Amino acid sequence: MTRIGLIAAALALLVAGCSSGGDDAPPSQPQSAASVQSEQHEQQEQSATSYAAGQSESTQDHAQDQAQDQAHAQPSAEREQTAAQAQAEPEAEQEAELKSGQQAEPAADQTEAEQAGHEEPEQGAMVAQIIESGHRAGLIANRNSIGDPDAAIVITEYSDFL
Amino acid sequence: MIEELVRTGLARFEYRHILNHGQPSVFAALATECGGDQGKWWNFHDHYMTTQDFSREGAIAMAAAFELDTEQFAQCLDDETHLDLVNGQHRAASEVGVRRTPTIHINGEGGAIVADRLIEQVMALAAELEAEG
Repeated sequence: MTRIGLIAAALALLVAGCSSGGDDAPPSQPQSAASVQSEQHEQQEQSATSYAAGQSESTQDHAQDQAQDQAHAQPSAEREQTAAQAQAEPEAEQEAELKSGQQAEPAADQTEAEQAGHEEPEQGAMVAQIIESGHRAGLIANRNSIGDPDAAIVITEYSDFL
Repeated sequence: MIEELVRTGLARFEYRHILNHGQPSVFAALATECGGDQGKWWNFHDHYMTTQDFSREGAIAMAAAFELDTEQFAQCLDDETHLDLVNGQHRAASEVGVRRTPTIHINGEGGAIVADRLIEQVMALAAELEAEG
């Protein structure tokens, strides 16, 4: 074949090749689209993974945070407990004081009762003594007078009770 | 001491109210006389000499302790039933020259407050009266 024949054959192949290549082009786009989608999917998966990882990380972080919070919470709880104890201690002291006061009151009452108990027999003894003296051991007593109404000697006491 | 003299039968002892301290004196005298209405004159005499409690509540409490009719006693107090009696004794004492308390008279004459001297005076007077017959 001559050069012209070779060039013509080459051109025919090129024309035939261009028409067949046009049909193949659209599938290449879906491929590229698929690849893009796949890339996007991969990116989404990656991002999802990373999100999941982020979530897990965030969960971990959250767990860490919770742990930290717990770690912080424990001191704060301790502080709160300490504060509560600190608040409770005065309350307990107050309660103790109240109890001691309540105990002191009965003690005071008991003391008063004991005093009353001491006073009552004394007063009772005094009243008994007064009653006994009122009878004057069988002496004749008529209101403000004691003794024999016909006695020759009258002793008169002019007095005040104060 | 006076009780011993009275026990011998030689003497009789009498008490006369002097009201030198105002209302407490009057109240105690009235309460004593109200007690006397129910046979407890000397009980109230000794009560006031001992306790110096001149409250109405104290008087009624003592009336209850002496087992008196407390309503009658309280009524006697509130009515001042014996006010004329105690005022009369005070006036009579003033008329015979009593100014201080206590003052002792033996048969109307001034006597000693000191026990030993009072006994001596009473015994001397008893001997004198016996000698007179």
